[in-house]
Amino acid sequence: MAKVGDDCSPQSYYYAFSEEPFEEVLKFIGFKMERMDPDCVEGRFIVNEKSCQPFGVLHGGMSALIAETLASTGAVIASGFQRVAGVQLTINHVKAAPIGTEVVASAKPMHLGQRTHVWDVTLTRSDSSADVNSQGSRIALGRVTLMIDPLGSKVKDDQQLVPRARL
Amino acid sequence: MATSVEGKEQQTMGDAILEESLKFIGFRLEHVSPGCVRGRFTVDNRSAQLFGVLHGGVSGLVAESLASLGAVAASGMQRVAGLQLSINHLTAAPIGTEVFVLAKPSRVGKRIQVWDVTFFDAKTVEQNDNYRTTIAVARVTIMAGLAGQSMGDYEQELRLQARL
Repeated sequence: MAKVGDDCSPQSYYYAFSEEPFEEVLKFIGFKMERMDPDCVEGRFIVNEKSCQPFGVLHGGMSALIAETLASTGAVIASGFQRVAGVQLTINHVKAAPIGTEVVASAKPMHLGQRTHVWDVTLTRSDSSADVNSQGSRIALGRVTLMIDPLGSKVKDDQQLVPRARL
Repeated sequence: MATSVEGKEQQTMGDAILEESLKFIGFRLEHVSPGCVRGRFTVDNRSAQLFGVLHGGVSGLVAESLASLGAVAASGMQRVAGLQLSINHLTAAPIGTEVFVLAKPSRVGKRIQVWDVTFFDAKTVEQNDNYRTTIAVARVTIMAGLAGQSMGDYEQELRLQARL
């Protein structure tokens, strides 16, 4: 895969930015990354039958997955490419997004500490006439708490940053 | 409803009520009832994140799915909507781990339901009743009793599965 360098490190994934997300489930639903900065991680997708629940609206769990992904990506970048682990995710689903809606997901850091990060993720409808910052277009509000370097620096082996998911 | 073939039947029947994304990660539904929803899956490249362990968001997806399934069953086949999901990730589950997921209602009201979903390392569940490795715990708040169009085939399938 051209988007990740030979060493498959998070750094190479970041610098060889492509709109294809790393996670298989996000690729499955057609999620596209738009921005990967230490202060903002964004992406968008259109709700289809792969990301909806039985009642034809966006699956709340999918919002949760997107929230955790964007927050984790931001935490890895903002922490200087250390290993991170999500420890808590909380998300409120405030509005339904029926099939066909274009949804924009945006993650912003609330706290960038040495040991923990807290990131805020908001999912909004892009087609809403309301201003994107206003209440009218918000679909879900999430907050993710992540631990930075959970295994501790005792693990000297650089292998800890090599993604083993590349099969 | 012979118990001997229950496992196999569930595997194919579950497909009708399971979300696409859960089928994608290889989730197998084992049991649906108003008091309990169970299933399991194995962590592989479809459900892992960059560091080779189970993606926390996938746990969130599974938690919300199972809780919603249970809520529909517990509400008497009404339409439900997830309001809030809270999940704690306790242990990393590297690729290859079989994860057993158990959803139980914490409170079932007329309008609001709260479900607890726990993710266990399946190996530790079989071995020892006293000690189980918990990978994640989630709490899902769901609103039931919503007006909406009939669920049609979905309701039929779920009734069959949940033995209502």
